Amino acid sequence: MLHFALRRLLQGVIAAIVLVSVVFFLARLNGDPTALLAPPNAAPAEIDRLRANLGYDRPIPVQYIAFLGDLVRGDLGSSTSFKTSVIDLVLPAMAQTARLALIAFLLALVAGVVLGTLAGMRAQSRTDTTVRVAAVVGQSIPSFWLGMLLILLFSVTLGWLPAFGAIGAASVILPAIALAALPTAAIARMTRSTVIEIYGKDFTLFERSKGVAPSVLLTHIMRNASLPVVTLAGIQLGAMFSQTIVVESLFAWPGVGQLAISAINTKDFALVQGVVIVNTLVFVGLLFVVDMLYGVLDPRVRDHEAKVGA
Amino acid sequence: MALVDLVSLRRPRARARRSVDRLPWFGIVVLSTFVLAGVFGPWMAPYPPNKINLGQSLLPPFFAGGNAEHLLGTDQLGRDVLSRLLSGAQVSLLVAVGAVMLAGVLGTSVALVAGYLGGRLDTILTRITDASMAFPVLLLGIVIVALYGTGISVVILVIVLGAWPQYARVLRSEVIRVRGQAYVTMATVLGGGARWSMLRHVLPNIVPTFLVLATLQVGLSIVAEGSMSFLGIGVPLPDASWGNMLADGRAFMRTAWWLAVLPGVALSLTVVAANVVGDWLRHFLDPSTRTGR
Repeated sequence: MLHFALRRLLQGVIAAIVLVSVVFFLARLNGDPTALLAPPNAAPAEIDRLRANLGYDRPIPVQYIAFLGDLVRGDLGSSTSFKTSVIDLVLPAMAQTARLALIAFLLALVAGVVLGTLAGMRAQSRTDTTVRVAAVVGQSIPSFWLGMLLILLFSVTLGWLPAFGAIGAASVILPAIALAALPTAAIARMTRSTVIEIYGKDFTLFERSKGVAPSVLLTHIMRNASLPVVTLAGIQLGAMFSQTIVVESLFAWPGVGQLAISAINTKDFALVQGVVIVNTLVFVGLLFVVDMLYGVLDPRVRDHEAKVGA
Repeated sequence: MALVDLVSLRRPRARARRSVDRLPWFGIVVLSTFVLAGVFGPWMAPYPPNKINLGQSLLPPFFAGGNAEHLLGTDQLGRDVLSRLLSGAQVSLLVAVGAVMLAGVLGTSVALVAGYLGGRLDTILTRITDASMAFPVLLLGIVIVALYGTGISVVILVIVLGAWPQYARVLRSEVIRVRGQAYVTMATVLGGGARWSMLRHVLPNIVPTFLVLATLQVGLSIVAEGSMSFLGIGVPLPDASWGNMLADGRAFMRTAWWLAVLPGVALSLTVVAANVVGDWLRHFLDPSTRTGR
């Protein structure tokens, strides 16, 4: 297990370095980023001074090493629009994004597994058809439009829930539902097809014919169904951290998504870069946690890797 | 054992086949309408989509007390919603076709080279594919827009960068499967070169899987374009796209609900239709999924 964990950790670190480097080199594809980092309408002399200050007159490899060094120390540069260091802006926003994403994720996991199991245990029934149709629709409706419909219904028409901001516990409900819809549908579909597959296996047929209590049967089915569902849930959680951008922008949720959009609108490239890098690191970290969980749940994964060394 | 198999498999298989034999009419009709609207929209639109008429602003659709001049009402600048929806269909169609074709060609080429030739090249290409897959598309979009600005071609570029690894990963294993079959080996034995085998034997056999992936990517591309335009990093105003129409509609949710609803209906219907057709194709072309799933 330790060997497996170390190998995955190394893979995660490599992925993080590659992704961060992509951001670095993208920003230097068409010249140096001084123009992007300088305040709008800066004089040419001022830009030259800034270029020397930021070290963009040095060779690219030197800059690259310095960039990685700053990153390790947690220095992401300073924001031109907020006049503070980027890291101080990104971390509190990340906490808000994580709060929203985790609440939505738990919602999606519970609702998806329950709906998928209900549908799978009664395949081809009316419940099953309803869940299947709802899942196709849930996977297709974009989160921002679902969010607008929720606002129209629950805030504008009924006046039950707040539509904007992150003040009070109730304000998380609508954005969380909008964000959870797609992963709920995906998890429900995966749970359903896995449950049906396991339901058709010989051991469940044997248990059913022997008259095992439904609760015991369900436990056995769920334990076998957990692996593919956990894998999918992990992928969905990663995707949600990127999808929150849209939902945050709609609900004025003070997370990294809103920060990124305001950074684009104010041409604050240091902030854009900071948000993307922190988000990438969180994403890679999540993938690592999911891999670990997978290794704990299914000993075959880590044993197989130890044997073939792949 | 045989009896056990019969008992456990008979029912789902019979039912699944029935659902596969039925064409997904809803999806086909909606998608055809979408394509027609995208291609012939400019001739069908009653008004130029960007024409401002402040005297006629915020008119409701005909079924909510509006008039026949503007069937689906007007927005805050008096622009005709129906005309803008048709113009948005054109944008979505362009993005979907462009992104699916470019990502498909790129992903398929990588899959063919990696899967057929194998070796170290395969390892490198697979690593690149996996790394690209880990990068969230919207974040990539934000970086690229911050650097290069907005526009339809930027939207397509971002979606292609996000989508090609999907094709590459799935099709690579298909290529490996087809390459292992006897007739491909025979072709090589008879003197067929690698390029001949790849194009003449392997490529036609991965077309079904490609079609399924491409159909599902149509929906994903349209949502991605919608999300980017909604965030203001997609199709730049004043040109209409379903995403930026919805972003505009946000401010009028209390007074003009149709601006927040109609573009979403068009967007969601199209995506549901693409996904329904994609799911049906997947079941239809792959006999192994006909049981149960």
